[in-house]
Amino acid sequence: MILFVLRRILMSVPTLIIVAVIIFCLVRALPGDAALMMLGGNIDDESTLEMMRHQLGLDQPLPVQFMAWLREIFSGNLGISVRTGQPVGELILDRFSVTATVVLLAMASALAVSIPAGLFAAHRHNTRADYAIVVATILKLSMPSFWVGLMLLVLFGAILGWLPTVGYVSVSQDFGLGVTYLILPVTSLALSEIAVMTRMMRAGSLEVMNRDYVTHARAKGLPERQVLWRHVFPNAFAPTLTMVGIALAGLLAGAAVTETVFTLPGLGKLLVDSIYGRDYPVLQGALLFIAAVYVVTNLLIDIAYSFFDPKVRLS
Amino acid sequence: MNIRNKLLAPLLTATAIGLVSVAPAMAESVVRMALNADIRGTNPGVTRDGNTDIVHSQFVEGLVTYGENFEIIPMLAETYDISEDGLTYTFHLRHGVKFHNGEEMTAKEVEWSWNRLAGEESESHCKNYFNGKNGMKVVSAKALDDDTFEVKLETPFAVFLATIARFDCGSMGVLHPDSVNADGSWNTPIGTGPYMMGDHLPGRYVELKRFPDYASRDEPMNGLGGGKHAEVDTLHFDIVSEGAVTKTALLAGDLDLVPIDAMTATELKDKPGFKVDATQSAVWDTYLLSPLDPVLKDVRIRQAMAHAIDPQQIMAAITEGFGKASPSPVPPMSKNFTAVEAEYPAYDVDLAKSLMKEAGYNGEEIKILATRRNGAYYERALMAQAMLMDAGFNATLEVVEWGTQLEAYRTGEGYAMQSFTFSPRLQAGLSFEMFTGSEVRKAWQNPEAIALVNESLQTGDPERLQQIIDELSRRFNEDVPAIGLGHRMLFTGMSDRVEGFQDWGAGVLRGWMLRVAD
Repeated sequence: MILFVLRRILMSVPTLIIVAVIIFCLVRALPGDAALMMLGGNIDDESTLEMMRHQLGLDQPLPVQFMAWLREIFSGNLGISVRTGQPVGELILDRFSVTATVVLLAMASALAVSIPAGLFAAHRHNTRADYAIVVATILKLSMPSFWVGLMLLVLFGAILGWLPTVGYVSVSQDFGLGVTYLILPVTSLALSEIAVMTRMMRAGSLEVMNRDYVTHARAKGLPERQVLWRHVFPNAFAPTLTMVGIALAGLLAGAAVTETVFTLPGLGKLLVDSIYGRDYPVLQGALLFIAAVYVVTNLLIDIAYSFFDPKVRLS
Repeated sequence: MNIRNKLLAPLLTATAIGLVSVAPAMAESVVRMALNADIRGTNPGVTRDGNTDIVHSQFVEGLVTYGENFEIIPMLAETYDISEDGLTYTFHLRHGVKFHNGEEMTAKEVEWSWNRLAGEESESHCKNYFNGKNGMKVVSAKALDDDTFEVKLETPFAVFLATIARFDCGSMGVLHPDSVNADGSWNTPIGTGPYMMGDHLPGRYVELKRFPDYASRDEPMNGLGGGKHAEVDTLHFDIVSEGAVTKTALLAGDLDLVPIDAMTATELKDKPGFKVDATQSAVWDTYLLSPLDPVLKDVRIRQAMAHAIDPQQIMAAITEGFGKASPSPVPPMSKNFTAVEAEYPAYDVDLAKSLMKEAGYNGEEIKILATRRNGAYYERALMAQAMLMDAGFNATLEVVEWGTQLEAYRTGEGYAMQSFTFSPRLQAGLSFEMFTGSEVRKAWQNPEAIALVNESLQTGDPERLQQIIDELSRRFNEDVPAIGLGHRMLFTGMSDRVEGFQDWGAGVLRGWMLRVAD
């Protein structure tokens, strides 16, 4: 397994270099003048604009700018934010810690609910319980996450007054207070994932339940609970695991909508702000980091496969 | 943070007993506000944008500043003299003004602060206002003694004081030299304002603390100057980019004072527990016409467009009836706004049609550019498109991201008309200068207008200035380089525990006027 992991890590290096080239080209292809954005749009003179371009290094030819960025990457530094003057690497890690906390809690909550719910719906196939679960998931899937987030804020923040509506305190700073700031965003993200994963789990379980080995398990007199958890769940979970991997990487890459609604200083919000502010170093650094997150998440999911599916060998 | 854990508190107490810190018994007063984006930094005049300038204005002050009607008034200067030839400005400093580190301000720090922003090595854009690149050149700026600071110009420039009062330069704010590190890099602002820099957690919040030793002027408060008697201990700004969230947080009691839109203002104004402030600002909402568009080269087409668009209807719609049209670039609160500036092309569709016919308009495309950014850019464009189409123009609307629109503005290309906004220019000549000149981004490239604008920036004679502004206003209506709409209404929603707030034309928050009810 170690060899497998090492090989995958080595393979990711050229991938990330290619991604870096693409990111640089795409960011520079964005319409709009970063220097003009920095000055707030209403410029009074060209010399000020030129001065800002010089400060941002935008007066250099593109290959020179690219090489300067590559040097920053290989030196372990992703540059300095032109908006805030903070080191990009530090900024990304700081924001990623917020996103990761919310996303991992949401994903864990979603799995804790959706796996039993999906198995239960499949087990009670074509009963009222199954229909109720299917309707609930469809209903949730048809609700925009922005709207759901706002409704949670209005209900639990403005109407009931139980939870804060703005700001963020990390759990390491103040555990009790930090938890109150996490409840709504985690719930909002988890609800979306529950809907998707419950459907996935239900579909996978239905397929497995018709297999001979499940019939055999029942025939030999195993209790239904054991049949479901020992024989159905491991085999039905593999497709859901793929979905978990994709969703996890996507969310870690930035749950921008959730972060915007709940004023979380996360990676997604950072990315959106850097696009609007044309903060090239942050934008490039964040995109490269996201690519790395995808690579690592996929690797972890591939490793996890081997635990659920004995047919999969890491070689 | 105002967390009201009505039901959650017992649960949290049970599960995290000993971990939840007991809230300190605070006598400290806090006003919680929202910024739609984080500040760019704490270095006045260097790291800046609109939000940042607002925060900086609480802790930094300059020699002069803007009064309520955009007149220049002394701030850290007790008085100032202007020599007969208009070349020498002598500032007599106030006594007893202290920096946030407790040291007393002298002309030595004023000189250091001037060089920090306007010196050759400065990384501030503000130096370009004084180094001759834009006409005005400062030949010397020095402390004559502890109480006197003198600036000499190469040629007279009437807008010198207005320029040093600019918000984007932090009013050429006076800071203590310890604001920078030994190597010259920026450390933290040590100003003279009624508030001091507190915590700044990037992406989360900014906090300012009341400066207990602030030396206030004796006069009543006036614009950004006059007496400042801060009562609130902490000004807390949360970073909240989404308007709907800001509104929810205000309703929840988690924020006390927030900018809102016209619709929310209508909703809140009669709601118990809340107050709304609606103030007309000097922010000019307009439709810029491209100087490069071949169809618009014909003045009759531009005039037809002006007659086809009704600013009254549009302003009433976008402000929910709170605002009214004021198409002149000169803001109504300016002392230079007279009956001449109040005039604008009448809404007359028949006249528009006859002008189109006379000009031989044959259905050529009039592309309107707009963005979905806050400030009703899109709504304004949509209504103008409908009105232009009603008059017979083939008006099309293209919605782009703000950066793309700014690029079009800078190059003058890619549009015939764009829904645009200019930030406040608090001197009447500058109100025209912002869109008049030979650069491609400038909509008004008429040489006579340019000459008049240049004169308006140099003359020190108030009567002559008014004559020039009136002449520019008349020509603006005839030449139609842009179609003015109005000066933006600024809406602020607040909890009724906040007292004393009043917005003003420049729209810069004055935290020192706030009070919190017991």
